[in-house]
Amino acid sequence: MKRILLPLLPFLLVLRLAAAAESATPAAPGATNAIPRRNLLITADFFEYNSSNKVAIYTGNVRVVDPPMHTNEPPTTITCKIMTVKLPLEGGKIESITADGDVVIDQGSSHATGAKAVYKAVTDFVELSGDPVLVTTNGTLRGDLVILDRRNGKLKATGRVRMELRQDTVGKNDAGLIGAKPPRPTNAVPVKPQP
Amino acid sequence: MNMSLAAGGLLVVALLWLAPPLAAQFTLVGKVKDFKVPDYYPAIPGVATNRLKTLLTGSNAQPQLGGLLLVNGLRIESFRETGPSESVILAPQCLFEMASRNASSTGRLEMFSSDGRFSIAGDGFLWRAANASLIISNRVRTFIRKDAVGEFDSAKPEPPQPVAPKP
Repeated sequence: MKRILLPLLPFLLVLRLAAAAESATPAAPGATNAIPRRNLLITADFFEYNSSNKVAIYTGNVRVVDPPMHTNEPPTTITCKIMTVKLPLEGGKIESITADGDVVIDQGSSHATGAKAVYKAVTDFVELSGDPVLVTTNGTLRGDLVILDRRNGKLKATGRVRMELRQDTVGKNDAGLIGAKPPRPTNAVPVKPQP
Repeated sequence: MNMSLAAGGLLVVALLWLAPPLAAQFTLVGKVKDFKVPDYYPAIPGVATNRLKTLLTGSNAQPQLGGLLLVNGLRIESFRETGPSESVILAPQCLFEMASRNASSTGRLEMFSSDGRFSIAGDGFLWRAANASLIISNRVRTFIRKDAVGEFDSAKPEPPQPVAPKP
């Protein structure tokens, strides 16, 4: 596989974020492990919750499955050693989720690893640190910090950024690291070109 | 000096002798139906008293050795200081210790947040009333509704859901 090493990119990369072209098979209704749509599932060996500070800690084989919003997108899975969830004091949305130790994030053909991942509801950012590496079918991104801006669908990397793109992806319209979102099926009749 | 030491010793012996009967006053005899143990937030001057913190209930409770109670049909509801319900814990059975107010079991537990955004289930648990903490020791499964994670705008219409075929 031929690769080209791009010169050091600007410290802040803003890349188009789109889901990989992979279709998820919806869970069979009534299946034991079926995840209700729109529900995030966290499984672990051990759980501790303290209602005084509203902190829940998961340890041992921690795995998160985040189903996609659209059925033609793959789910996101996260595995780590320890996961800390900070719940709001007066109900409402989660304040933060922190994954520690051998963090692995997968979505379709995209694969990210790092020592720590932090999600903060205030910014809606996921920050991957501790030698973060993002690998997709189009290439590899490294940096001191890799940030996923969920609200705006952007990916950023800061500090000692290094990106490798596969040569065959360079020059394409969808040459972002993650690639273009596959076109959604439509019932519209294609327009014939005029002679 | 010796007299005061002797008097002190007698006092200790008397207290030790009295202690078991005092504790025995709270011992349950036989099966108790509609078992309830409320716990309240500390009273604040000028604020309404009896603000319920947790309410542990059981369909029945049976005394066991070691000051434990076997509670069937456990339900623990937690309340915010402002009054509304926060979460509900359900378990078929547990051992409850009156002195520490701890409930534990090797069996199944389910916990739901009252707003429906979180649910947790697992096997084997320890619930401590003192700080309303919960430990689940095996096979933990948590469901978090997406609108609790901030990415989903509940104002947006929900995409159509596939209808499960009826058997």
